[in-house]
Order: sequence, then structure tokens, then C-alpha cells
Amino acid sequence: MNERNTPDELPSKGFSADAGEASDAGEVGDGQLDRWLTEAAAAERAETTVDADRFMARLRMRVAPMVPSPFAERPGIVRVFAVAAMIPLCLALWLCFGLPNDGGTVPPGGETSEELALIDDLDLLELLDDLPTGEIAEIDPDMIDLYLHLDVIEELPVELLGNS
Amino acid sequence: MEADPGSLDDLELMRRFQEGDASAYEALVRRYLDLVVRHARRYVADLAGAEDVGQEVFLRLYRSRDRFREPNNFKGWLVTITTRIALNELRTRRRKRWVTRTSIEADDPAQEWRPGSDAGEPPEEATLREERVVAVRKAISRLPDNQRQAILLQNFEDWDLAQIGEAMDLSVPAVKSLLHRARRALEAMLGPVLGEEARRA
Repeated sequence: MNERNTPDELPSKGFSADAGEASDAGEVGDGQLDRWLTEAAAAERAETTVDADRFMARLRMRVAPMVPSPFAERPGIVRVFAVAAMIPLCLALWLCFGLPNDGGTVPPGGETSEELALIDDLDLLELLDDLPTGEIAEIDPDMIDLYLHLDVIEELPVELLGNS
Repeated sequence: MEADPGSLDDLELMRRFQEGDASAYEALVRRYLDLVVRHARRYVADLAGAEDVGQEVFLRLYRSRDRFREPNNFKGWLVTITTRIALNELRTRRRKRWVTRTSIEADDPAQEWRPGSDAGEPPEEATLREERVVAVRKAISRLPDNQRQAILLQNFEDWDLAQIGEAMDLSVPAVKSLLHRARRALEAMLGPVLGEEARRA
């Protein structure tokens, strides 16, 4: 690992015997090249100074969100079991709180089927009469089921029937 | 008594870091911060960009601590990762500049990164030295990636052949060959530029 360059391996870090000499114009010797490289390296070191404390502070902020959760330090199998155990728990919570008490489905307006049954057929017909044709065509298809349920289908415009 | 993390070798620091010791991670970062930023700057030129690359390098080290399998060659791994991230950054910048139709000349390290002068140095000497340094950097930046990395690690970081070989996944004879080609290429590029000055000297 710590094998150092020996003079045999790399004379003045180069490979030719003309170390330290530059011959005619336009040619560069190994010694010359080494000096220029050393000069460039020294200039680079002098110019590249990093504020380590500032760098560390920024790095800590980026690393902080990755602080491991309690599960992350556990073996993989424990994490799998922990996640698996949460599935029935979530399912139970969903069954308890996620469905309406009467077990029925909730229409778009949020009313139950019992409440909907109370809507007056005549009110609906009046509403439909007041709506321009374009707006009727945009009525939610779920609402058309409601109209069908209330036996007002005969009164619906043709465009609306085409949507259902 | 607990040893100062800064006095421990890389292997021990990596072991402690992998066991969750945050101070070992910080000691590693502080130890290699200059090397990583310096190496990144050789590609991206500006110091702020090089520090961004450094952040990504050490962030990647943090994320991959559990999978890290090369604690014996930590320095080589860092240089390899730094090179990859810096080259990616350079490619991203070039794409952005191409899109915005601005000059790509600024990607040339010698264009953005000019050496400062030494205090007390005669102005004429300082100018000549600055020109030489810029010419050398420009020539190095034009080398193929693997030759560039080898010449920088040898001449700018004083790494030996074996260390360069480990970092670049090459045998020692292959590193020698690579360095030989790199030097010949540098001589060819620098000859016309600096040969006259060399002859005068």
C-alpha cells in the first residue's frame, strides 16, 4: 500500500533520462515538467481552503433528516414483522371509523339513502327545468342514478340520458 | 479513557462509524475534506461547486455506511466517488449551458481559476508563474479522464504507484504506463507554449 516511488521506478517522477533539461525550443524535459507540475500543485493548495466548521454544519443539516427511526436499527426481519402487525390494526381502524354507521354507501352529496328518499320529486323537476342544457349534460352520472331511483326518468332531457 | 477520534486510523474510524459513532464520521470528514474539495475543484473549477460535490461525497458515505466494504482503501474510494460526482456535475453544467446557449469556455478550469501571486514576488516573475500554472492546468484538463486522474494523484497529492493503482483499480505496471502516456501528452501540449521560456531559462 505504501510503496513509494523509487528513483529506479520514476526518475523525477518521469521516465526519461533527460531530467532537469529542456533541449531545443518547443521541447519540454521531464525535470522541467516536474517543476511546472509542482508549481501548479503548490498554487492549488494555497488557493483551496475550506472552512471546515461551516462545511460540517451544512453537512449535519443534510444528514439530520436521515437520523434512523427506532425500527431502522432493528434487524430486517423485526422490521418486516412490525409492518405486518400494523396491517390488521389499520384494517380494524378503517372498519370502525371508515364506514358509515348504517353500512350503506354514501352518495356524492353525503346524504344517506333514507335522506334521499325524502327529496321531493317535484323539486327535482323544477331544478332540471331551470338548468340550461349544457349544465344538465355535466351533471354527475351518480346523480342520474338518483333521478332514476326517484322515477323521474321520463322527464330528463335526451342529452342527460346519453351520459348515464 | 476514550481516544480522540482524530488520532485513530481510517480503518478504526470506519469501524466506529459503521457502529453508529457520529464523532468518527465527523473525524473522517474533517480528515479528508481538503482532499475531496481540492480534487473536485480540478473538475468543476469553482470552489463553491467543489464544496457542493464534497457535500454529496460525504453524504453518500453516510448513506452507504452499512454497505461499505472497502475500509482498507478508504482514500481511494473517496477519490473515485469524488471524480464520478464531479464529472456528473460537469456534464450537468454543460447541458444547462448548452440549453441556455451561453459559452462553454467557462468550463475550462484555467478560465475560472487563476492562481494568486505570492507576497514579495516581483510582478514580472509572478505573471510568468501565473501563466505557467494556467498553462499546466489547461493541459491537464485536456488529458483523458484516467490519465488526468493518475497525474493529479501522483503530482498534486503525492500518492505512490500502489495507492494510485488501488484507487483506480489498476496494477502498478498499468499505472506506470498510464502516467507515461500522460506525461508525454503533457509535454506535447506544453512544449509549444512553454518551450521558449524553458530554452531562455
